[in-house]
Amino acid sequence: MEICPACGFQFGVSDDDEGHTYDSWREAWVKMGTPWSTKQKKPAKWDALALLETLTPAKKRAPKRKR
Amino acid sequence: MVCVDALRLDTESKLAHRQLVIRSIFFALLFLVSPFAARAISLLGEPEVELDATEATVRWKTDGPSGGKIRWGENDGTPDQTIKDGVGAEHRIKLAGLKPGTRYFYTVGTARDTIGKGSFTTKGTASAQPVPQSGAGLGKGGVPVAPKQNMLVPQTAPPTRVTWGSIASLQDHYDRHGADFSATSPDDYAAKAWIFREQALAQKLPMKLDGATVRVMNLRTRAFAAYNLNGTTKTYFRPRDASYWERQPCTPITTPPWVK
Repeated sequence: MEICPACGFQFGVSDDDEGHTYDSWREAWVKMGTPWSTKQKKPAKWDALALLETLTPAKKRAPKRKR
Repeated sequence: MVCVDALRLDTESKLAHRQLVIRSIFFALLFLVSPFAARAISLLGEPEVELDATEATVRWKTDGPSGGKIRWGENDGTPDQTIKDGVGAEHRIKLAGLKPGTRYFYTVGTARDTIGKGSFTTKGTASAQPVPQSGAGLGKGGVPVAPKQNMLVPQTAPPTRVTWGSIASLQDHYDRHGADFSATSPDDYAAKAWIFREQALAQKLPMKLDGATVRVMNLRTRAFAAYNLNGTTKTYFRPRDASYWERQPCTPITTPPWVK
């Protein structure tokens, strides 16, 4: 049920209610230039693309998430 | 030459006609065996209903696989709730959040057609639960509010810092879902989520527990909330339809962990 402060995906809502997948949301977010998508404070040295590069295929399919 | 041409044209015409007939038969057969060929689905027997005070499970069988749908409500002819089921020849759908001792009317069918209907009366006594009635007790924006005479549910919530789990995320949740409940501010939204939690206890709304999250939903109003184990709110919103509840994982519970 948490909202990712970076990409704005809300677990349990963006997927279960609105029908988005992690992959489709991530792809759209990257295409938009990985904007910081919430009103929570962005970390000073936050680098979205560097973080995305650390994702393994397994993590991309089923990342750990809080609900 | 004319006779030859006429003969040739006649032969070509017959050949073209024959090809057209063959092609038509081919497509007709293709349509008949196609999965998209329309065929009326019929009910086998009558729906069966398992009853409880606040729940009812409706089961029905059809003579072929199809998507299932049940529509139900307290008024005959005007159902106000819909739940869909997957494709199959047997369907089993649980209706939760019902009022004890109350008659409900339902129809069952496919996505397109109604193939059966019936009614049932839940167990128990109708006088117990102070639940807002349809068309009455509606606040601003048509959002049902707890009846003022319901002394079991406080109408004033504790401060937001006490009721909301992650203060840093409250603004985002309010921006997305505050309008679902006509909330006027993040604090108002947080207060409404807390009051909903108290209403859920008083009205025995369906609850599920999954690890660190308690989920609650009013299937009639479609209000849904998720709470931490200590009772603070994670989120509060209104899903697009009541079938959202069926997709939630977890174990049904009657007493949340914050109630001692």
